Amino acid sequence: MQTKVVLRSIGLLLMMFSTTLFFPLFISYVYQDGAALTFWKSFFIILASGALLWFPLRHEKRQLYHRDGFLIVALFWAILGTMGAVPMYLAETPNMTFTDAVFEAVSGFTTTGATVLEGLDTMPKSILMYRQQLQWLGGMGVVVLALAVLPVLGIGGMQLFKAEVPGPVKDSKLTPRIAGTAKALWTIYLSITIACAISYRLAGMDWFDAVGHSFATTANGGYSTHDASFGYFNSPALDMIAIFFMAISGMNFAIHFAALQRGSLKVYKLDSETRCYLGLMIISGLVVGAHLYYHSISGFSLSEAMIHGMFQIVSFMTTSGFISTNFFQWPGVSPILLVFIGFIGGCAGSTAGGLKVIRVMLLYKQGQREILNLIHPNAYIPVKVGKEVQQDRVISAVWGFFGLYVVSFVVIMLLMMEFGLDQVTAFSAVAACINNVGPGLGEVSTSFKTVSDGVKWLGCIAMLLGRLEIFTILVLLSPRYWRY
Amino acid sequence: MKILILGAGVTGSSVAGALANEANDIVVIDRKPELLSALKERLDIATVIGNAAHPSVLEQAGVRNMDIVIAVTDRDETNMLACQIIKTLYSKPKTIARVRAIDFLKHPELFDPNGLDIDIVISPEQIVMEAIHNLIKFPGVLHISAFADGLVRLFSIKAVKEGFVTGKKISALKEKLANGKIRVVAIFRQGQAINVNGEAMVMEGDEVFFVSPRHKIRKVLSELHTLEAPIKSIMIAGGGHVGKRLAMALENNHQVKVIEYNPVRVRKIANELENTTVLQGDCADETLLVDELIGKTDLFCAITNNDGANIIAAALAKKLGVKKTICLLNHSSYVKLLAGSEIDVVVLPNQETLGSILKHVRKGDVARVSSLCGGSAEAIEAIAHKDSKGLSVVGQRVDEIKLPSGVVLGALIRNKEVIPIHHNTVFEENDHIVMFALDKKLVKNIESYFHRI
Repeated sequence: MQTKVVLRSIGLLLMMFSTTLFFPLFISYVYQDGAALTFWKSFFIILASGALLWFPLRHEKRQLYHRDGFLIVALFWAILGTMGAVPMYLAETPNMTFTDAVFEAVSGFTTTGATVLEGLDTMPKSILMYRQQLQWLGGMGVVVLALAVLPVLGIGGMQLFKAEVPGPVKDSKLTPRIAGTAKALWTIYLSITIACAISYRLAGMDWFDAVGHSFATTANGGYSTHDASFGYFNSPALDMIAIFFMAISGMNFAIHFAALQRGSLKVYKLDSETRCYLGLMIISGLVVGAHLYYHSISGFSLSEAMIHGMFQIVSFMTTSGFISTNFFQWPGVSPILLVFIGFIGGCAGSTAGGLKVIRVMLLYKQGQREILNLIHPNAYIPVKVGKEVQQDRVISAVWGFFGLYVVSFVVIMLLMMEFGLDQVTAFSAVAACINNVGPGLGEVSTSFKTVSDGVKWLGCIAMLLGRLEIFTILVLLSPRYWRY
Repeated sequence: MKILILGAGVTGSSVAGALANEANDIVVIDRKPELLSALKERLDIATVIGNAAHPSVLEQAGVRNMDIVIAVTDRDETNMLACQIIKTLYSKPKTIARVRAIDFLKHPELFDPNGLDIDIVISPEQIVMEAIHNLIKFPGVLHISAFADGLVRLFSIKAVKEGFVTGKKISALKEKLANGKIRVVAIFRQGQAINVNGEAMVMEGDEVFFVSPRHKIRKVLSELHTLEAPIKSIMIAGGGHVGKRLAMALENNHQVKVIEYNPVRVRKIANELENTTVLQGDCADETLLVDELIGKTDLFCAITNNDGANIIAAALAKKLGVKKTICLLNHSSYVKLLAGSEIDVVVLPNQETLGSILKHVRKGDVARVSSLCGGSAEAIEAIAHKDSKGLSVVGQRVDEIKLPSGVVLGALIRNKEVIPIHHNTVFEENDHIVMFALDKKLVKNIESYFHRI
């Protein structure tokens, strides 16, 4: 462990993060909402703590070890959760406790979108934009952003990249150099965001809402500037734009990159993860839509039912967590189906959470292989995705991941029940947090406001575990990690 | 003709063997002296030891005066490079290269004059694979090969009691055989050819060769009562080049299993195939075959590179209840062993390859040659041309030409259409004529009728 190098990197990252406060500051001056002082204070606190870590260690420029990457990323996300909470903690409206502020910040960064706030419509615009911006930064990954813009971090960047990027195969670079890859990812991300914001504006949002929602949409976050989320606008056009951009952001950005480079849409058709992702999404969207329509208690017309069904499925599958209507009051199996589709999540290398489609595909194919092997004991059956044979190493890593996912899930759920949640609430709360979806069922269907502090802290842990894909955090808990 | 053969492997030596008997000057190049000395012992040829792609070695073999170069070393890269080097440095010889890897074959433009500039590319595995594939497409057929761009096919069947040809004279069959468009070209009774003329009679158990337009085959076969139930499940013993390609061609429409012994190879082909079950094990292992339900399998293809293993596996599979077996033999002499055995169809890859090479070596306008019956008989496609000496067939009636006995006219193709042959049909310029020669020594005789001088 090279503590000094790790701390120096974190100092740098914090200083970089402090500069992102200028955007909400700008919003604050535009709308004159009186929160400017809060952001100035927060800016200096974050900048100072970053500088304090960095300045004494500024000459520690050694190569990062393989294992340092985990520590930097995990530590940075934890510290960022706390530091990101500073503006919300200091603000006069909303008046938040420390726990609430941290929960809100972590939920933002991890693109979960679970909130403890109510009465968003009357809050200072700058605070609202700050929340949206947290999601946007967390979506593609703050460390990846740092790799793109800070050449100082370039040393050993691959370790950092691997620890933050989601998916089972982490060393796939888009360009030969890691900084180029990070830049490419952020450029695509930024372009999708801009396209999304413009579409929202054209379909009727004002600029503030359009930009804010585009941040949360491309990040698959789920924060909104209104309590009723997308239900506030009650516009099928906006719903459809949101469906489109959530689905786009839930795809592997490497595929977007390839499509751009070759200038053809065929790339999407050829990629079996994308095919599986879209197939699942469309089928379950139609099923839920039809289900809603035939249970006439919901009172939707056919097109309304289809749009709401599709919106909610896409929102949960890409783990955004936007709400277009009160889905938790839907009849029958639909709400539970939504929670479960959140487990599958989006594609690897996207901004979505969950297990990731590719992992689910691999688990399924591995199961299929075991059955085939029982029928043909002598057969050698490779696990393939498309035409590509998957290494056994990857498959066993996926199983390990799945095992730890289930264990973490069960442990956190049991602890939450101990803190007083009923079973449905506890189950859906953990699912909402660990999959980075946001809304759950029962008590936590709209906000986490009413649950106890213990549950909120557990939620923070679950969100970080989910966003950093378990291993990055759990590796730090292994005693072997700290021994030389 | 002067012929240079690169590579003295299985194909190289059998090509040398086939051509050495036909008054050609042959030189063989290979890196392995032991292969060459064995070959030299057997055949009247010259040999050069060395890398077949090196200009100095080629020079030593006298490449300057060669008419044809046949590159059949075991490496595609060597074959292709050698041909390109020869074209660049000497330009005279016609080049034929064997290319196995599908990766190269997928890009035919590679072999254009702008690319590697190889005159003819052959892929024996592909040829053998297609031969077996055709047998699977037409179950009940013992041999099938295509002529005139696939317009006409030569095929043979075993005459069964219920078939309409059995027990009849050939002359009585005209009506049934689409008015002369389909012709009986040869009859083998217990391995011996019998004369085919109007009076010949087909007996039960004879192997009968027909030449037929492509679209009539299915109808004829069903009337001959030989068209069996379509093949659905196939077990392939041997996952070599042929096995893999065969599985690739079949896996989307059939249930295919491949048995391969080498675990490394098993992994490789399992990774490349999509809907095939690849089994690791010995193809003559009774328990493995039984566990994989050999009794319910329609077809067993024994196509390892070991003739003995193929014969044993095919015989075992038949005993265990498979409906039909195809056995691949590299040594055509083993065919005699299998007469009267339970193996249904024998495929001789060397013959298939040889046929594809021979057609480019033969003189005159002889378009396609297919080696049959262990190499002793041949089917030929020739093009009629006028010549000054009046030796040509153009302008003559069928009954005016004195073809040697043992040569039978099979089909006449004029302007891409099959024309029925009657005794008064007159040959025209550019007619394609498919013939069947019972003895390949007769081929030279035929060539004289079609040779453009």
